[in-house]
Amino acid sequence: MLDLVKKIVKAPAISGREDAVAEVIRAQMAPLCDEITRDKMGNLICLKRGSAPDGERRRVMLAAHMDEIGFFVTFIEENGFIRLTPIGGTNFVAAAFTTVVFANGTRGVLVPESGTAANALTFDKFYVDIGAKDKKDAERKVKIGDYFVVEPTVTRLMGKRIAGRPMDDRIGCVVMIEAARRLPAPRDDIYYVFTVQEEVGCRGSKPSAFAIAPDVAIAYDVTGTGDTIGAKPMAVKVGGGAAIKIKDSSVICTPELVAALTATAKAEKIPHQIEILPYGGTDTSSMQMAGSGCAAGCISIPTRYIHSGVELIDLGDVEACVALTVAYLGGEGK
Amino acid sequence: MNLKERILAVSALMSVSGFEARAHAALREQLDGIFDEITADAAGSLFCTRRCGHAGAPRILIDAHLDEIGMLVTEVLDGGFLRVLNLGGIDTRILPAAEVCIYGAETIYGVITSTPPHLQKPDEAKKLPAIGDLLIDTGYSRDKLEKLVPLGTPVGFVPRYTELQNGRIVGKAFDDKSCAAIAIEAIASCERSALAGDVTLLLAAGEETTMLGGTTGAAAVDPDYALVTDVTFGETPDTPKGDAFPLGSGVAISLSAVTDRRLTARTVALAREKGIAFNRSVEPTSTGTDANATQLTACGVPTVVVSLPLRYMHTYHEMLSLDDAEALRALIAAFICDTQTAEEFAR
Repeated sequence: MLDLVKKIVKAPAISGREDAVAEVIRAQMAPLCDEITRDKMGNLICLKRGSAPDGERRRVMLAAHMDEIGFFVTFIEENGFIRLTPIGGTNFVAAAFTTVVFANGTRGVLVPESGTAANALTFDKFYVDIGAKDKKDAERKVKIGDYFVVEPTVTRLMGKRIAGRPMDDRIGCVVMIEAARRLPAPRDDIYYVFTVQEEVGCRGSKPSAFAIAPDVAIAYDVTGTGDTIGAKPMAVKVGGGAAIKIKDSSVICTPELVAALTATAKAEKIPHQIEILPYGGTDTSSMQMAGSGCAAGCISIPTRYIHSGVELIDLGDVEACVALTVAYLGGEGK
Repeated sequence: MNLKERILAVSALMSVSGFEARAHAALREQLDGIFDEITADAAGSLFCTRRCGHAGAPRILIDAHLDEIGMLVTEVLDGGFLRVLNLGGIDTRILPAAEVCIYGAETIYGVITSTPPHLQKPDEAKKLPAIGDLLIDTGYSRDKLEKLVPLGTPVGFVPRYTELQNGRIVGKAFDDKSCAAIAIEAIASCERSALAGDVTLLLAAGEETTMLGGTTGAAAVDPDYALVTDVTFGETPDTPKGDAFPLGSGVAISLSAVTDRRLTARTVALAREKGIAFNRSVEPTSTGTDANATQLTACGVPTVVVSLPLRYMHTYHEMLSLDDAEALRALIAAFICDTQTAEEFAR
């Protein structure tokens, strides 16, 4: 699984510019499903047809977002320094003094103007130094409208834990790919949807859910935890298993689906925990509300330090998320 | 059931935002015989349809939201205390010492913690408590409580109702189940043959949190035109002028940039014709109701918003006037029987 994580993390793809990672995921999914399309917005939709007879097959939509937070280039100074605007919820304390990479492979360092106080770290105080001598030199590699991200990394820590970026939400993509591998003959029609533009307001899942009109929808995304120093009280912890979401700021998950997932986890002895996130939003909400609606839930991967370069997860939790998905969809299909 | 009994019966049900489906069985029993068809959807909304008997008749949507504000258990603590999050807009000033029902494996009673004035720190009385600082005291042991109350259990205010002078009643969740109950009585009071179309009452889930049911429900019904009914602010000596309506002064018909002008004008004319008391409520681009979603459904649905004045909104002591309730009932009944509206707005 670690190899797959490394492969999927590596392709830089901010919201609205997801092609690079979509191609990596398409290559993984091609042998596992019957039909792959990309809709007009760029969502990658992989359909695996179910074996149950017509009328008994549910339409199940699984969604993880391909996009990550990052930056667009807005202006190049005469001295060759590059100004930027953030895409998605960037934590500028975490972004200060990091290595960044552009789509064409150009590297730079993202730094605040010297003398900026820690509590004044906003995007307009930052620039990227790519080592250019002046504006003209910089323009050989970078132009206005290019995008870049904090350099993707994966570091192995103790046990099954790893840290790096962007776990949010490539790790959700990994869960779906791994689940597709272990569900070679599902009962239901399963639409594995790798969505775009989640980080800027759950935009991609709206039209894709509208087009698919699922009966049941499950999102896969990272969630915050209460197990770090100074964390807000929250019952979720890294290593505690798959987190079955009850709510976040954008959604109250369908109680029957929460109950079915919890019962499956209990019956199959899959490590799990209940997640009630007092903030945040996920594709769950837009799937629940698309068209005339559907039963929607979310299986979350507990993650420390979200939206930093060192998002920390436990591969045991990832495995539990896969196992829960396979058990829920591979069972009676209830 | 008379109108008051209907309002109390529907409002007393537990339908905290996100958990509306738990009220469905009791509601179906209460509605037996009034509707030709009752179905539920994944959002937790209930669709109650009464047909006029004519093929190709217009579809009329009446939307009242089924959900009520409430809380959600996030943690079970030593000593039988529960920590909660709010579902919908709850004013934490009213929470200390409030009585609640916790709808877990069994329904149990609890009281929200409150620090006596003697023990409060100097500035404490001036500060608004955060929801995470308040706990529910249940009297149970932690072990027993963990079995009875799984994380994610909904919590609601105790359903207890009091009648005051002048036909005023006080209790929880009149927002918006009083309007739901009034709409039920309005539809029940019309002969099927008198209806101007097939009427679907959408008892919508999730209005207080995401407008989920109003959004998906209107898409499922795909109506020719719609009336959304919700509560508005009841006037008291301390409410700002113009934003609130005296109890007993009738319904409030919304004039908003997002409601349909012609349908609203026709509804105002209907109220005049029938001698139904009303005020006009002037609102900006949002009505703060499901109508925000209804009117954006598909290619757009002409929508009118009619509101019931309510004092002390989002508390366990919401107050309404039964005279206003009767005015709302009469206006909804007139609306669904009006052939002129049907002719003008049928697609």
